Amino acid sequence: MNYTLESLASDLQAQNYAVLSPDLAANGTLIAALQNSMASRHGGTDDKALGAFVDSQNFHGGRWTRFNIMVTSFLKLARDVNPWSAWDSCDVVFGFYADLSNCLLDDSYPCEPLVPLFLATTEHIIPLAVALDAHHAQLGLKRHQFLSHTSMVISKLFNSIKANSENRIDDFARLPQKQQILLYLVNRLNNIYFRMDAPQLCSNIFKNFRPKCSIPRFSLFPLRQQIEYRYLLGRYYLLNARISNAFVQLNDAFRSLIAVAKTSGSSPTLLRNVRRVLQFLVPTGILMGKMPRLSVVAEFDADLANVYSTLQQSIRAGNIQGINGWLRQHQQRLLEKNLLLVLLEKLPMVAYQHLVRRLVRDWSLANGVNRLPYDLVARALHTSIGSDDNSSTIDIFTGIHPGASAENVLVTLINLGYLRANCFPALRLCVFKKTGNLADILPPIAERIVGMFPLNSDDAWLDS
Amino acid sequence: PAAAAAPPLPSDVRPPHILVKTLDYLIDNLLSTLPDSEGFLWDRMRSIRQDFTYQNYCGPEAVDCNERIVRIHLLIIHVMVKANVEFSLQQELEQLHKSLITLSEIYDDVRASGGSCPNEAEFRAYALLSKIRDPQYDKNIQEMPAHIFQDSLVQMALCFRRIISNSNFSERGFVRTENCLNFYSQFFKLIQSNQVPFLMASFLEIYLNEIRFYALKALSISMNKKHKPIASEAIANELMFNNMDELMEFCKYYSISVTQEGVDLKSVTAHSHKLPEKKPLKNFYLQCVDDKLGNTAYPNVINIGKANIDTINSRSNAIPGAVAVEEVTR
Amino acid sequence: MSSTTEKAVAMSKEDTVSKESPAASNRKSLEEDDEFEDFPADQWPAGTSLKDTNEFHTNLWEESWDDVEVDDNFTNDLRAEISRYKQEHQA
Repeated sequence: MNYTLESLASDLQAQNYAVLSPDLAANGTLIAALQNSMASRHGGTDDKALGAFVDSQNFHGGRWTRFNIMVTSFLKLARDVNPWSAWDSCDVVFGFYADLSNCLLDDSYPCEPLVPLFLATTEHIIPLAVALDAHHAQLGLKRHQFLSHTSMVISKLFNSIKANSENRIDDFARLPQKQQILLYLVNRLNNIYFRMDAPQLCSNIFKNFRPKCSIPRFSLFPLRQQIEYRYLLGRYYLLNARISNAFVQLNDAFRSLIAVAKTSGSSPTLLRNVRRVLQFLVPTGILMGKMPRLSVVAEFDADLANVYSTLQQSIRAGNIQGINGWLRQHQQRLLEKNLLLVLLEKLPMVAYQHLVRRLVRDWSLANGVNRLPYDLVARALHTSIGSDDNSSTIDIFTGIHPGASAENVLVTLINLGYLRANCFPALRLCVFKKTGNLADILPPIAERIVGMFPLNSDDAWLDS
Repeated sequence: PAAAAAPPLPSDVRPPHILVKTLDYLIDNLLSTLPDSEGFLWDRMRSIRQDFTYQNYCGPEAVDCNERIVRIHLLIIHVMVKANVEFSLQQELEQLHKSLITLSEIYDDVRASGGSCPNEAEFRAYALLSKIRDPQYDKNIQEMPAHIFQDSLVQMALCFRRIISNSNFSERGFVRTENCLNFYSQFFKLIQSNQVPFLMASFLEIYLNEIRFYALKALSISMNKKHKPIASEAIANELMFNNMDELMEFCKYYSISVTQEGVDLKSVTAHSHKLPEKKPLKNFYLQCVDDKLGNTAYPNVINIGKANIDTINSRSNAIPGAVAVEEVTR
Repeated sequence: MSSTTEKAVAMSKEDTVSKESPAASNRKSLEEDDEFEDFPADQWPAGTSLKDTNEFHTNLWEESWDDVEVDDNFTNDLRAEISRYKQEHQA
């Protein structure tokens, strides 16, 4: 292949911007040819000479300075790239990426045709940044340095996008290119923040997404991007212990993936995504007081179904020791998914409701009374929590549960609405209304949660 | 110096080993004059931290000083409340948080460069208690190495965070979450355990008012509207008030009526422990926490822990590109 | 194809960086990674939205709140405790 600066210039005049891809897998032949031809170029190839060459081409009438800077940056990349070393080449590659993104910031220039190049380059840059960051210690860099840099480039572009408020367009294909990639950028940024262990940064992106959007309905965005958005939003809520909000998003992501699988056919990547969602959705549902059908879970992930079947049994039985044993057994895996502490805090009241349910059914209703003595509850707690040994070491499994206070457990259940009853501290009794219907005394937790914790109204448009 | 003042001349900034000596001096000679010396100590400790910041120094002396400064703030919280002397808890906590953030950043950097700090777990535990309802801290601690996460102080701090979690908690900017435990009875049981050291217990005392308020709130919600008042002694006992006067002061603040019969929980009408129209309720202490301190001389409460010198990987003393720690704390 | 090109193509291979520094990579395997992968999902079948796809709805959650009898050691212990309490308080 013979490819010179002049060939490049004429491609650019023809708006064939794909030639600017820094991805050697896709564009390596062209870059290599350009590198070869530059080596023998009259007039030199130092920075100044390359700049002068680009200026002399009078691209876009010479008015678009950032475009010229970007093209010059590409020429430096072609000149200096070392195909054997991502590390040696990272300056020119990341420099070009930043310059390319700068071209897209100002909509008064004809930047639309550059958007596909930006997308392709982003797809190339992110894995490169991840790979380089994996070696930050050997390279003497801060953790996530390249990803952090990449996120700054993308967020600058994200920030430059503004909604056209007067003219909301209902046809995705007629939207400006930058609007079309809005959800793509949102997902990319959020993924990077999760990877950098800084998901709190997602909050800004979630908040600013809709105000930047010219499209009136979320469902007009590409389907896979919608699903990924909900998955990320759900995980973000879960990290903030906002269970019902997390549940709604993750459950929706799951249902959508299944619907896609059934209409367009499944694929290994799709099934892996289903498993990713289930990892978070199953525990979140359990925290909502729901019971997953483990046979359905097992269709996608037999191991996950197996792991959660033991937990499910302990919850149904009201067995706190069983829950703690399960948490202890799976501690490592739960820590890695940031699930341990949220389960530690939010599983017990679900289990306590089941425990009290057994007492109401097998003692109160069996005896035809509408009360529950504290003493009976205390005994059940003792059976559930285990011995209350003061000498044992305090850890997250021994330190939390109030074996000694039946009243406190009942009070919390009543406050959450999981037990409809009144406490009579002086009589050491809990009294509920006269009914044979257990669900009147111990209503479904999911319903109570929905009543007490309204969903974030900012997310309502995701259903549009 | 005021925040806007120009940074001092290099010749006016004390080098690390002098800052250690300065702190030694404060500990050996001024702690015993608490509560009188609180203001002076606060000022001198801030100045020590600032001098480290000015020279962008993150070595073992900085770790040592920040660690001991955190312990001093924790000691002061208890001593001042016990002495019933007016002081600004909010200012004390502000400096305490700053020191904890400085430490957390240094610990991260030291670990990233292959070193370790011997007292890290203790201060990670305090950090968990410093923003006791912030889920971000749960995320961070779950990502720490096992020896930190499994450390007994960290485990206890994690217990307290769960125990005081509360789905009724209401404060500006706080988002309530589902299924919270509000195990106030367990809070009072656990804090008495001799496994909970004095400094941790002292820190937990700052949450006494909110724990007691939401305990009464929850009790009141769970009780029948016609229920009689509860004997004051029973309430004082359950919520570990040191004496009836304290309980009366507490009830008066929240306009909870107390009669001959006892505390009338129907009159708990506030929805938040923070009453917008009133200045905050004064802080209380627990006798059981004071007993943990006993007659221990104050310097012996502070100069505990392992020496930082020689344990930190020497490479980390000057962290390349480290930003002035004070700036990063927002 | 010039030799530079071959090199160029080689660089794109994922392991380029590891060649530079052969230390063990701490990258997670594909399965462990929480990040979504690309998958084909162009659109719903014409004219439908998720709300219309209930026919494909895989019901992940148990509908009923009915008790499922658990028969494990714990449940037996609890039953025993309840009947002990019954006896003590009838006597």
